[in-house]
Amino acid sequence: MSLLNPLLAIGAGALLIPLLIHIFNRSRFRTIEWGAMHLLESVISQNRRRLRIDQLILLLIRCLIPAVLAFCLARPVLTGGGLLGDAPVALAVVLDNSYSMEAADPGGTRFNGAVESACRVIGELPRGSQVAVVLTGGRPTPLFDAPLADLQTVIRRLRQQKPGLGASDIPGSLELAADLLESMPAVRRQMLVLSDYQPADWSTLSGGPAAALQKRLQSSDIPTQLLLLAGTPLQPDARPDNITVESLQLPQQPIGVGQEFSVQARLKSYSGRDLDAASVALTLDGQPVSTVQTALKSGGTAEVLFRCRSDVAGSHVLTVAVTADDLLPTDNQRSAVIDLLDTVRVLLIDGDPGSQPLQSETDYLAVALTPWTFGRVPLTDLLQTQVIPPAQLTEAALQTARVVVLANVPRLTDPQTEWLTAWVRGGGSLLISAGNRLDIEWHRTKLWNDGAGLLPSAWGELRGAGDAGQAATPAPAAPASPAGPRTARIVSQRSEHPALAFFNDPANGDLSTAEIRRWHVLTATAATETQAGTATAAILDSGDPLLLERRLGDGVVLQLATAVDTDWSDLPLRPFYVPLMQQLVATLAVQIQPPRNLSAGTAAVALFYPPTAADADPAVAAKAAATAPPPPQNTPTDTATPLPAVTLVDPLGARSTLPSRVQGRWLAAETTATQRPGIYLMTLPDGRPAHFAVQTDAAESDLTLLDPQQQQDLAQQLNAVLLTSAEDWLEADRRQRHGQEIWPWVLAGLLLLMCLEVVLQQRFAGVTA
Amino acid sequence: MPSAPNVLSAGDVSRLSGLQLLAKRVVEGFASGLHRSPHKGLSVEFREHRPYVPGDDLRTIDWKLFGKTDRLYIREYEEETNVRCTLLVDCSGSMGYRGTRSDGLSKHDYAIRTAACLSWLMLQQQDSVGLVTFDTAIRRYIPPRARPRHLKHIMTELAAQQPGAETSLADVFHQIASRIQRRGLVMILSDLFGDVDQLMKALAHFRHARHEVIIFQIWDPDELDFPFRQWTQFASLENSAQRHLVDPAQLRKAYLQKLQEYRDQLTRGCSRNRITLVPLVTNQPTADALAAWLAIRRRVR
Repeated sequence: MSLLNPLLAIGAGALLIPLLIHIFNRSRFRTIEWGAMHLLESVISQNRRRLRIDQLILLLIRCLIPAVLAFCLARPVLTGGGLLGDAPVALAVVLDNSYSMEAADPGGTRFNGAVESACRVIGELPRGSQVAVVLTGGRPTPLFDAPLADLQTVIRRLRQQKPGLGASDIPGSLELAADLLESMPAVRRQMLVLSDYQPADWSTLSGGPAAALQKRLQSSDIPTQLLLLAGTPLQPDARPDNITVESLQLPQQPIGVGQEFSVQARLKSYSGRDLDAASVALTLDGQPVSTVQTALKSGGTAEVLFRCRSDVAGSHVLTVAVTADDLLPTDNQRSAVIDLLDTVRVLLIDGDPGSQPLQSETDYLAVALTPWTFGRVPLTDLLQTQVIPPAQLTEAALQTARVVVLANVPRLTDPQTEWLTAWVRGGGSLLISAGNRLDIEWHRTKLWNDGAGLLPSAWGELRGAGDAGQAATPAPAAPASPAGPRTARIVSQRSEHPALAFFNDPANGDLSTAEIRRWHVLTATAATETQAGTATAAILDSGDPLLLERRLGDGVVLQLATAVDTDWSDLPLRPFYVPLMQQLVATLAVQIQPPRNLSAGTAAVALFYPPTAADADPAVAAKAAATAPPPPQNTPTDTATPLPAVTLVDPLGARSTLPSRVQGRWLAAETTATQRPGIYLMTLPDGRPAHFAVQTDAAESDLTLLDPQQQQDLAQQLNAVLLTSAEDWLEADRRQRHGQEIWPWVLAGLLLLMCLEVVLQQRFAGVTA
Repeated sequence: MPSAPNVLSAGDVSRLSGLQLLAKRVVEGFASGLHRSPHKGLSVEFREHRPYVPGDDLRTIDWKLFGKTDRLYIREYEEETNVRCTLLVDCSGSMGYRGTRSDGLSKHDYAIRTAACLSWLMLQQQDSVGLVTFDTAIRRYIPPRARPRHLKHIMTELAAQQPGAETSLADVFHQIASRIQRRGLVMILSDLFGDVDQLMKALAHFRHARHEVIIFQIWDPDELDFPFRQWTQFASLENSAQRHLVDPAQLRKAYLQKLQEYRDQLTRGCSRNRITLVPLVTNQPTADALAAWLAIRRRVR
């Protein structure tokens, strides 16, 4: 309880006036010489005692009237506990900018409504208040580097915000807002949460996190008041009408120019009505490719398969759009990026050349990698092979190659080893296969070098019965173990390795049909795994690894425990040999390229060759973009020339420039500002585009909201105030800040007192005779 | 000492001169012929014979009839005589109340004026008028006379009166009743403040003596509506020790109720004793009040 005009409360002293009048009246009475005393006297004597009490009551009321009037004029304000007045407030606005907030609402979109509510609340904050804004979509992001006290700026910036980000991380956002609040000096702390309260977002909060958050907010030195502002709920019985392209599935394996590939789109309906013929269209770089009609049941899913090809290398944007008139148009289409490979140069270093067809070590491999060329079919091979003996391995030859295969190479010279190591560390891909000509000792000391060399593992014991006639010079250090199994087969299991994932589908071939007759035991020790990032990609049924992968610098090394020709296994005779080798080498070739289809918030990285001097001319650059990437003429480590910048266009069309950095043989441009789903376009210095498709959780498309009862429960769990509109809150807040003015009630009381006075006076005048 | 014209204003005289006082009942007297008296006495107009009873005056015996009938008859005549009117003016302290609405007239002043008017009116009609002034006891008794000079006598006496002292109406009325020998009209000008029962007994005494009694009860308007608002100390006019400091507004209703009770009681008692009770309020002009009463009186008759 406090008074707005405390000075006027002094007027309560006016209660002395009736008292004085009373005393004055009694002292300054009139004397009347009265005749009819016999009438008066009996009346007086009968009522003397009552008159006295009545007078006292009347006097009390009359004294109360000016006192109450003064109290009323002083504008008393009822406050629950401490009155905060215009003390500054630290306000953290947690704004849901996930794309479900774009859903149509009676007042525009849900997001517009939320922003307007936030602006209303911020606009009414007392002077000196600070505001922090946390955007929940994708990753919790503060809108400002530091909380702002300039409320107009906050409002302007809020109005500029656009929704469309991925699923909200509500617990993280609330924690971040709590962190921000604790850094803000204020008398009061408030957290205003503006969201559409999708169950998917908020269910992560229920239970433990909610209790922890509530405890945190309350246990702080200044407790935080949590406000949940719910927008207009949809009609409780109506299913929100929404159709979405839930996912796009692109082929796992690398796709080359001119190769046909399939795009699988999955549609999901959150709508309450069945669609008999939903029109689904695929566009490639904005050009329509095909349109199909599909039926989509209410609440069901449908899958659509498109086939597509392109003759242009580089990144392409594939977009699948479904035509539907629903609440949320944003999710009616989904895009993905495919990077079509140009010809990949593969350098095959043959350690066991032969003069007869299919006699040399790499003959099978060369055929498998370039089947169309070998078969004189007028189709483009993704790979282009060059077979050289170990002696011809030079630094220059390495520069043009994307993948190098060391097939049964006994040994290399020291400079060759250094070149190769540098090339791999700079981003090259190397496949090393075993064979009978390996110099095991040299390999162990130079290439393995206790984990410091190129090999993922030293060549261990030679196992399997093998074919004695073929083993011309068996390694003395690793004789065939008579106790071991004579042959082994590849364990058929689901593989996570991108090259072998192709064979997860049995239709693509059964790897376990191949018979491995000889193999080296490769030991992927725990120490090497952690030190050098070694992973086992395939194992044999004898328990020995067949394929080891090791990331080295920016490059990758694959070690095959057996040979790539028919000497140690019948792999090349199997039908899957071609796809297996294609997959292995192509995967190696593109493994360097960071992924182009990202989930929101992950870094988008583009690798590119440093521009040559010729790239300064735009025409040359355009030509270079159309053809193969030019071999680098200058080393990227040359710090004298400034590193080129990369232009980035984000889904909203905002243009920014990214600096590039040296990464191995490449330059890399990277951005982590990929919160917003959509297509990001990096224009590389040589003029080639690099697209990135940022995807987010499709669960956000389910526009079902927490119903009012669930919202109540949530508010109760969080000990939060559940608001329905900003106006409600402002009214409550005003009352909380300034208290509730009760002068009308006091005035009513005053009038009542005055009436009572009149009534009592009348009544007392009628005392019984 | 105020002279008669001071007491009776010229306006009052002119207003009263057109009126005729008609007594309600025929009382004794013959002089002007307007008032028929039931009393039989020495007169010119024969009324009846009645047998002699011992104690009758021997002079009233009709000797001629005795000669014819050998029986003793008394010859009676109708007597036309003046009304013998006695004005009883209350000079007690309570009559000294002087309200603000009565042109500065106290109840006593008003009673004096009324008495003057009445005596002038009745002497004009050759009625005899007497005067008794009293408070605790009879102050002065002037027996009724019909001579015009008698007016000045009464006026002088009236003008000399000042209110004061306590009243005990009942006692005084008993005394007066025993002092007035002949039947007549008794006009009481008083506020009649006192115990009603005893007062009624005293008035019954008058009636017992077969007097016609008319009471002019003098009220001040203040006493009738008790208009006081501010704190007031009421001091008794009759007993200076009686003082009450009260808020009159609180008492008004009770007072008025009490007053009504009192007046009802008085009215009931008067009607039971066939006494005419005429309330007069001091803010009414004296002659107006009289004229109004006379008009009522004539209509009743």
